Amino acid sequence: MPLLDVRGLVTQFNTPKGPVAAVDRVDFSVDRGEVLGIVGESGCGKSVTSLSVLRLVPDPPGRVTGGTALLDGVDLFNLPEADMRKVRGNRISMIFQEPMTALNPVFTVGNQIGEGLRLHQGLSRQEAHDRAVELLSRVGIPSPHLRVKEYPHQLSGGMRQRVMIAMAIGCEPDLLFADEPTTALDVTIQAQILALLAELKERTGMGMVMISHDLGVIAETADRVAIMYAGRIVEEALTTELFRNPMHPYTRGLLASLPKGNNPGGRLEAIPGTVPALTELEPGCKFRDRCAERFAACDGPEPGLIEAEAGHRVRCHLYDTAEVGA
Amino acid sequence: MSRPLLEVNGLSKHFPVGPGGLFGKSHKQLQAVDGVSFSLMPGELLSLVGESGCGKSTTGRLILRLLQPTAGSVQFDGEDVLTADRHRLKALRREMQVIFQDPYASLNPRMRIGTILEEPLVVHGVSDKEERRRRVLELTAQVGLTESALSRFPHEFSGGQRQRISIARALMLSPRLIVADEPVSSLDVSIQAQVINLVQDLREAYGLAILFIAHDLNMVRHISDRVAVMYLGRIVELADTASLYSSPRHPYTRALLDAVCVPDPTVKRDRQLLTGDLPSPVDLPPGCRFQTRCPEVIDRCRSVDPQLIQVGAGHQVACLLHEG
Repeated sequence: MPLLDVRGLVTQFNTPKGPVAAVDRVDFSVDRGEVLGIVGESGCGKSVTSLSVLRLVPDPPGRVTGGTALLDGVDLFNLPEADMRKVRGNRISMIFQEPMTALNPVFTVGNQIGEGLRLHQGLSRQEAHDRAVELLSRVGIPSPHLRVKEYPHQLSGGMRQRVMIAMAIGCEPDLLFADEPTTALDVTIQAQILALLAELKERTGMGMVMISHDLGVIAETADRVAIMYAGRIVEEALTTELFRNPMHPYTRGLLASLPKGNNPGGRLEAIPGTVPALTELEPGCKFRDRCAERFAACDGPEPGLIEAEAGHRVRCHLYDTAEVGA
Repeated sequence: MSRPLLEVNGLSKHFPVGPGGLFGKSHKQLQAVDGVSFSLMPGELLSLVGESGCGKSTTGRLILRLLQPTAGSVQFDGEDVLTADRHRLKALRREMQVIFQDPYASLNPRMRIGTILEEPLVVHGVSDKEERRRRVLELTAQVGLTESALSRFPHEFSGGQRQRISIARALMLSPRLIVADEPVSSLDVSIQAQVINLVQDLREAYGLAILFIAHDLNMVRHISDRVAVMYLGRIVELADTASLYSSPRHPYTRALLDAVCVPDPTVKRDRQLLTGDLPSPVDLPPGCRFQTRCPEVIDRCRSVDPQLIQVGAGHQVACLLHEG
């Protein structure tokens, strides 16, 4: 049984133009010790997916309207809120993209790291403080006994992200959602943070969902990758397989659009057009207006996510066979 | 060889900071940019790279005189930009335009696209309405927008389209130099390639020189003729693109290139991570600014401040390991 198994997740937001599905019938699973990468551009639903699992989608305007999320077989969507609170920060943690807005400016970092420990593990104030120092040193912050008393504004961006990580791993979660954990950071700091996350995963065996738009970060960290487009998973495969043999025209376009270094000054292979607004989605394949390989079938019903090769699922009519998925 | 279009010499910007009180004078100086020198040939694309706070954007603003430098000189086509009077500065600004990072903040939300694009022409005294109209339509088509865009407002466009509008506006007066401050950083991956292609096309069509300020080293490698790496207000290495990427000399450049994530899972990384803290730009250590994080630091780095020296054809580096 996978650690987390999400099936048919639908998250809708109310807009002046009616409800739209930011996440539309999404299935994925993560095992212990595995890193699942979720890739997509802004508005594709990758962040909402993780917030939905943690039941943190602001309601209103958002609401999970369908699906299940089984954590070790227990459906998180059926838990009473009190039980859900015992899951968040304890069994499932999350690192957000912007550590400055995710940390509370009026409490010391020690206080914020300790909060979860006192709540979930019943540590005393002193014990929580000692453990916070230990966690800060584990995420590589120098002079942790001094830093523990500082406020978020006194730390650099890289240090704040380390504090977030220290907070997230404090209760040794089974699963960690990392939502663009290095996007706001410089590359030399990004390298440090990615190394730290990899080391933590090795040591604790936690599962991880790495959400990013950066295919470089994904290639380096993920075991398996799901590509999202306009709320849908359009392709999923092992990382090596996906980069070696991208099947969906969108995935192929994303990889082709990156500068390679073998063609300096040449033209990049851009994907034409823009991501459609969720309020303006039409039935059928959501990528077809930008797709270079569009053909007659694309104007028909939306393709299912089919297993085109062993362990490699793709949502595209180019790979239509008798078999039709969800 | 023709002469440089832009020559920057010893450019510095120090901001007074820290406790000075309401009326007191602050004595601490933040050295945002400190003694930066480089030149840019007509039609050349030079990238300024470095991490946040290294002074790359400030350098761009100083060159355009959007900020007043503390010291140094900027010459555009032989004319001193920093001492130009109002009249001359206005003329110079026809030739030097800017594209900002955030296409949401750099277009006035209350103005229609047609007005936004026409404004530079009005400001710079193109009085013939027909000619203005013709020029607006010409640029609109060149950046891949349709005439119907002109009557719409910025909020009706996506980020990529807004950046196209910013580019069209910058080109309205046919400048010879564009300072492009992270023009694609806020755009989605699939859109970045569109905008970079557009920049390349226009560069060719207009013979533009571009100062490209960026932190995406893969993109910089793709489009630059030369690259300058900045660290804490200084240029630490400057070379043509191929030479910088194939044989980086400065330990910081090496760390920077080593840290880049490559979109290829078969590449196995064995990184040497930087340790140590970035010193405060208000309180820099004597000697080399990179000493606190440098994996190859030697004793002399703690006392001697390295200068940018020539180490190969067109390859300059500021590091004691490469001196003598």
